Amino acid sequence: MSKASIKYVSLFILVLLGPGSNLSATAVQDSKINPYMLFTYLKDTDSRQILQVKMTNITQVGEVPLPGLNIGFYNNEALLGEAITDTEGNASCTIGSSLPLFASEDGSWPFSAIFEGDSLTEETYSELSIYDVDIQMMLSEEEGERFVTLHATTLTSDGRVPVTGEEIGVYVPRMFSLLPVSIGMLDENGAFRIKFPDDMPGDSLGNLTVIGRFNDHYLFGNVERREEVRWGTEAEITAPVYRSLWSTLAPKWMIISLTIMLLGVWGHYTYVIINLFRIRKEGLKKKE
Amino acid sequence: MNRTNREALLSDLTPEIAKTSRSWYIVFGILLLVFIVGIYGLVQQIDKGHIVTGMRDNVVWGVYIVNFIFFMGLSYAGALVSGTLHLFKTPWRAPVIRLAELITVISLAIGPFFIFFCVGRLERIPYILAFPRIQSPIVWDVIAILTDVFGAAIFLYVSFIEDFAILRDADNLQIAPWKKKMYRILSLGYQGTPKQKRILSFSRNVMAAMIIAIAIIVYSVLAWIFGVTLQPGWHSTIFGPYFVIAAVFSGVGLLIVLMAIFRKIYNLEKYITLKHFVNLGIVLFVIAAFFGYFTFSDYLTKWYGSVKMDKILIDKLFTEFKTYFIFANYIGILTPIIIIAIPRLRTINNITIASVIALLALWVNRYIIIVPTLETPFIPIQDTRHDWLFYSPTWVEWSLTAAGVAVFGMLFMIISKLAPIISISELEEAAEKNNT
Repeated sequence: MSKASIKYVSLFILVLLGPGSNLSATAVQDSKINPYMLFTYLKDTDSRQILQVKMTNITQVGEVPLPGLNIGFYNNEALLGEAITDTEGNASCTIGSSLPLFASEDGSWPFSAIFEGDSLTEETYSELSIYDVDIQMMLSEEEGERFVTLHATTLTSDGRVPVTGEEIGVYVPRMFSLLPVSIGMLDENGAFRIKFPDDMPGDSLGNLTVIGRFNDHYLFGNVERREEVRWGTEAEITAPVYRSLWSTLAPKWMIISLTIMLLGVWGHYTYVIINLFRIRKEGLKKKE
Repeated sequence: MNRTNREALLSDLTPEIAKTSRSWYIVFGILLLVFIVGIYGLVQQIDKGHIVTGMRDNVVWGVYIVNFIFFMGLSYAGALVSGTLHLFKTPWRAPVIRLAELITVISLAIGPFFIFFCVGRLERIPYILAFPRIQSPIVWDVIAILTDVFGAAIFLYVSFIEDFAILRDADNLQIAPWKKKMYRILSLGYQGTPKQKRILSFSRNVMAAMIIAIAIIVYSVLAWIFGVTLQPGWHSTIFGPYFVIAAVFSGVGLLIVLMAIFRKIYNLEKYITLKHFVNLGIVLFVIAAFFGYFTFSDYLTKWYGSVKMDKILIDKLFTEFKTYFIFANYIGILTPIIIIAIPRLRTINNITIASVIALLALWVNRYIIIVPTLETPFIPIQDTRHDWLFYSPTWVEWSLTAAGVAVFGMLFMIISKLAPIISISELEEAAEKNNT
């Protein structure tokens, strides 16, 4: 290849790459966050209906919460309320109990959450279709054994009917999440009954919270019923003892070691001092 | 015991008890002057606070703590040397054992005062005893030092009883009546009966064994005050034995220096001979080798570990403190080794010079253990004034240091007026053994 050819090829590459690099840098600078919206429904133990959103930016290092985003919550096209995401990226809207909700032809409520976008974040939305359901929970003791019975019913044009063949569970809240005690299917009567274990740790008095719940259900969302009961084993709560100069007592091994050493040393001192008196006594005897 | 031999020993070893020379007064006067300057410095410190010292927020331990460790080290070394010489019935121990015992007690009497100089709120010191927390290494140290003080005092007294009895019975000794009375009381009616000899000998053996054990434990406790912290350079598992070895190194060095001084001023050439210097020199040689090994081991593992703060500290030791480092860890170790290793160099003067160098090197060694570490804090302080970041001792600290050395000398001089600096009973025993 001649020198002139090399020169022209190099110039072509520079022209091609130079502005391209700048453009791509500008693109990176101007690109907006493409947020991920997690939209859920919760009907809590007091039958309050809560729409919840979690806004995150999924990056290579993990999910980063997006705070300060204004989220609109809708039932069909009617605005139910607005909320701004907190530092964890969460926003929620409690639906007023007196508010009549629009139901679609199949009887489900269409909900949606919309973020309309801003200068940094792209717009996004998410939809849910929820069927209303009620859970009744009964805690009983029979011959020393404990049972949890759940009944689930839903409102149809025929009135309130049992929910059958759907997955439901009994849970106990622990420090970080809900511990599933038992998960199973509702029977033909809309019931689910389990024997509650007798070795479940409770608080210092043995109290624990039992939850009957549709957990992230494809038709009902999250629906739960909670009750506190003294069915747990009593937790022995002892304050952890850390090694520290300001702890109330020295460790036993230290006290024992020190006592043995000091008794040994001072015992020998005492013995020698007694010997000094014996020397003196012997001297006095000799003098006499 | 041969009466003539005892009279000869009394004649050689007690002149300073019977009369005081002018030179004694002059030397004592100079030391007293140094002590007074130290007291003036202390008054300044109490009046104006610790601002008159070089200690600030970063370096809260300075020369005072270096002196404390140094004097305590001398004391434990004295205990170890005297206890070992006695317990193992070392044949040549007679002229040196008393000096070692005195080093133990006198150093122990001085060392803790430097803690008092270092502490800001002296009125709170009784709280250590009133509300002790056994888990605090500082409380271990207080208990250990108090135990050591009692042990060393008993050991010294037990070793003095026979000499007090000899001085009590010495009719030709022209001394003040109060001294005679003192010897009568302190000798506890010791007549040298077989039973008294047996009890005294057994008591001395017990105390010799005890103070060896206590010296090792107590100086290890002192080392653990550093070792149990996470400070760079201090958090080391070998700090206990390292401190004990360092203490014996400095103590043997001091013993040789004192032997040279008292040999000269009290004309003890007949009793303290080249043999004693060479024998103790060999001990110094062995301990120097061990000390060098421990020092190398400690720095090598830290250097290889490459822990960030240790690395910063070692870089500092090799740059800002390199003169101190070379003196403490090369010159101080190699000089005694070279002088003792070459037979031609084993003269009294050379061994004494090597001991002086070892002694000074050990003091500097303590300094570079304490100060560079405190100048390397994990979290730097906000104030960036030079004297807050870097320690530099002031005249107040030096005056109190000099006062400590002066008191050491004065106490030795005072004791030499009350009892012979070489144990007469030990010399008699050695002579009896030679005769048999």
